[in-house]
Amino acid sequence: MIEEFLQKKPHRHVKEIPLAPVLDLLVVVIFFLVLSTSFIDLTKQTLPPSAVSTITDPVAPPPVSPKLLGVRKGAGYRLFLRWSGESPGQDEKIVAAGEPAVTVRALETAAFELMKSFKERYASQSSVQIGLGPDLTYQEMISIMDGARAHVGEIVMIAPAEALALDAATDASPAAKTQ
Amino acid sequence: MSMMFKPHRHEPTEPQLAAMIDVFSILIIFLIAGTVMGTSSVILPPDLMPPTSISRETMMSVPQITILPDRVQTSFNANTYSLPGFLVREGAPEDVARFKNDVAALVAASQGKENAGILNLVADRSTSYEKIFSVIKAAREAGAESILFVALSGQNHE
Repeated sequence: MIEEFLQKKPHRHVKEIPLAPVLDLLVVVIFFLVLSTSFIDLTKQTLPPSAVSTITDPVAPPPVSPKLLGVRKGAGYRLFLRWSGESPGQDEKIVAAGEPAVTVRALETAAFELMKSFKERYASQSSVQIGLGPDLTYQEMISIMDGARAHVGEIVMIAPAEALALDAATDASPAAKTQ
Repeated sequence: MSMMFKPHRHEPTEPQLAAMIDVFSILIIFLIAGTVMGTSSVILPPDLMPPTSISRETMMSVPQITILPDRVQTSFNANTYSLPGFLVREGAPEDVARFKNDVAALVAASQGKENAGILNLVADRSTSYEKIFSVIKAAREAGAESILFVALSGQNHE
């Protein structure tokens, strides 16, 4: 009798589902789904019938079209920003030439400050045309673009001849007048 | 009496291999599905020093135009084009016409594909703006939509 009690009865082994790997799998799948989910907002636009037209502003203001131009002036550089629109204007900076690394940084800073003051007036402008003299280098161009891109996202390059022409037309310095 | 109390043996912790295999297999599937294979290297000719820029934009794997001191090379074919031909006031326009045809053919062949019409531009930092602009102008007239300037990462100026 005692031996029967002491003897362990064989248990029927019930197979259990291992929860740990299942939970790991579900956690990874959930992370995957959360990261890959993108919510799409459906919109629609309704065009009015062609017979009906409403004109609220028949005279659109002229575009601002800012142009950032840089040319060599003597031992340094003249960097100037011109814009059109209802209140056309111009702003310029003279950058002295020195060590190449210092000069390109100065050009970048000058372009940055010109664009910064322009953006304070015209915050909605998101593009600028950049034109440089034919003898400015690729590095100088990149540095000026770096300064401008801090404020605008789109840059269009314009011809060197246009930069020279605008410089000749707008340079009010005494040296330019005597030429 | 003391024989009835068996000392409690600490069983060594065994790593649950099944769970680890599941996690690693999912990670491997994730990485394989998310990996993008492509040629992302820019070919820099010897003795060519690109300019430095504070831009943090990553480079794109697109065809490359290289401006050398006397010629222009493209990565999408083995042709070279005489650089003076791109300048307005000198050189023969035949090389420019050939360049435009080749770029136009590249743009047409890549229509509908990712990064169609985008080209990388590589040049030495001392290259004049006139040469840069001439090549960009020819590429844009041939249908290139965007030109990306390849530069070395420089210090962030504040």
